[in-house]
Amino acid sequence: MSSALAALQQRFLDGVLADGPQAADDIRGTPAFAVDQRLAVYANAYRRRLVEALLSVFERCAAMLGEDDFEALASAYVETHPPRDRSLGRYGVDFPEWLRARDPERAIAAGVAAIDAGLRRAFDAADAEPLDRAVLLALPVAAWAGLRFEWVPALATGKVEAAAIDAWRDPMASRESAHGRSITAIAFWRRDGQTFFRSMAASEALLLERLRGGATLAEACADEALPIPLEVAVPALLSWIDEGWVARLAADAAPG
Amino acid sequence: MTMGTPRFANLLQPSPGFGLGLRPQHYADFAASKRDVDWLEIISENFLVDGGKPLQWLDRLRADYPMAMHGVTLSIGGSDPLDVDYLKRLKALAARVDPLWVSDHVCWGGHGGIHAHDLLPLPYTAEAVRHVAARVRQVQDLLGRRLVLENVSSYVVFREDEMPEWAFLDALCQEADCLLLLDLNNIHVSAVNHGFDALDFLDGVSLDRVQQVHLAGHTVRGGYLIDTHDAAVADPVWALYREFVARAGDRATMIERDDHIPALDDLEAELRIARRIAAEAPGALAA
Repeated sequence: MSSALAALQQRFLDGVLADGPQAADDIRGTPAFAVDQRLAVYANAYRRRLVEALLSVFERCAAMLGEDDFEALASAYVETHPPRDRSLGRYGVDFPEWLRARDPERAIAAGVAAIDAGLRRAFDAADAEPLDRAVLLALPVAAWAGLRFEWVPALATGKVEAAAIDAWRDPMASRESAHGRSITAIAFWRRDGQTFFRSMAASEALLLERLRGGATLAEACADEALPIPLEVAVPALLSWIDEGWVARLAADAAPG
Repeated sequence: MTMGTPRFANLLQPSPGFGLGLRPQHYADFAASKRDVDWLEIISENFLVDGGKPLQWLDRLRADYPMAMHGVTLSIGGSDPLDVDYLKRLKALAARVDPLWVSDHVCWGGHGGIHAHDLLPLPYTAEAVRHVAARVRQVQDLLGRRLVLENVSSYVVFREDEMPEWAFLDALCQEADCLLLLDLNNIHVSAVNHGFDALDFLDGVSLDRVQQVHLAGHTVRGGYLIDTHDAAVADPVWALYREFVARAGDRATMIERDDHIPALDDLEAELRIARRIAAEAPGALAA
């Protein structure tokens, strides 16, 4: 590797990131197109491209905040978050957390951003054929307790302000409110090419977490910390299968 | 400078004709009926994903159209090590697409692990030729195919430049045994921004290394041009295309629109202008 080239690239990139003159001495300008104007083309393009990337992913959050407000926030994020991922589509994965930490009074908007991000992640997650509930129903009920499950790669979970769910559905009509705030668990997934999300009750989220952690159905229900009745767990499991969250029965738990 | 030993048979692939850059706004149009488009160019990075609709569309449309793969993040001129994981994913995508060819840009895209997501300019020095050529050879060895590299628009001239851009590209092609994707809009933009004659560019590169041509639009900003790819092909670029086909003859030609994407009918109409210019070139075969 050329150390001179690397040094030049470092100065140039420093100038782009800081919108500054770090590489000015390396450049020749003309009266019609001065050095600072030339470098500004790159600095401006960098910022514009990243803000547009954030606008593309956090569409509903931008709709709720208004484009000007969102762009101001996105610009502030860009200044302190140079991309470290080759994929522009993955830029801003921590934008919702950054927004929540920066502006606690924007917790609902941060939740809307988290939903935007969760749906974006589900959009191009790996494909998997979901389990047909007939596979489960073909097993004797007594065998269900020992089952473990494998999950479709598009399935992900998180926690958001409960009010963010309605705000995501109608962002233009939504405003921040400090009243009656509560956190809810949420799941994201994709089925037949469409992305979805929905909130989960605390017991459902806990059961899912245990099963995704590798517990059998019996183990997940019997956890001493907080037992979950089978009459709650089985309908939840069947609904997950119908929604396309479960990919297959784990090999060690499949019927012999 | 040592000349590279050609390692790939047949310098150029036969021209597939006139194509368009595939954009999501047109997926359904391309699927609904056969269009007046001979081939498509995909942005490789848009399909370096694990699953979902993008890959379903890709497979669906690939059944009807030959495709070239065009990357934007190879950073062939960068100083960070080549990203082998990225190259493996690119190779896997190529196995899926069976592309006409694989292209990227003569530029660098980041440094020290930071990705600028831009096509940043290289100094045109003999040292940079050797640096980039060595990386091109690595990429070609890994992909098992010759790389096609595009000239970028630029807004700066480095004080340490030792040669014009066209001489740099020509030396790179010879040293690395790679091919060129000439973006005629980018040549025009750089010519205006740096005050050179675009025809000197055409006369300065080995046209027998030009696998593909891009046509695109730009934005005028006072005394300089910005390569925005968001407008119709400008008259000076059409004039340059006329000069190109008069010199080089039939080459794969494509209109590249990245923003303000118009209706597919509009792009097909623009493509017909390119077809007409190529057909009118001296020595062109009658349709």
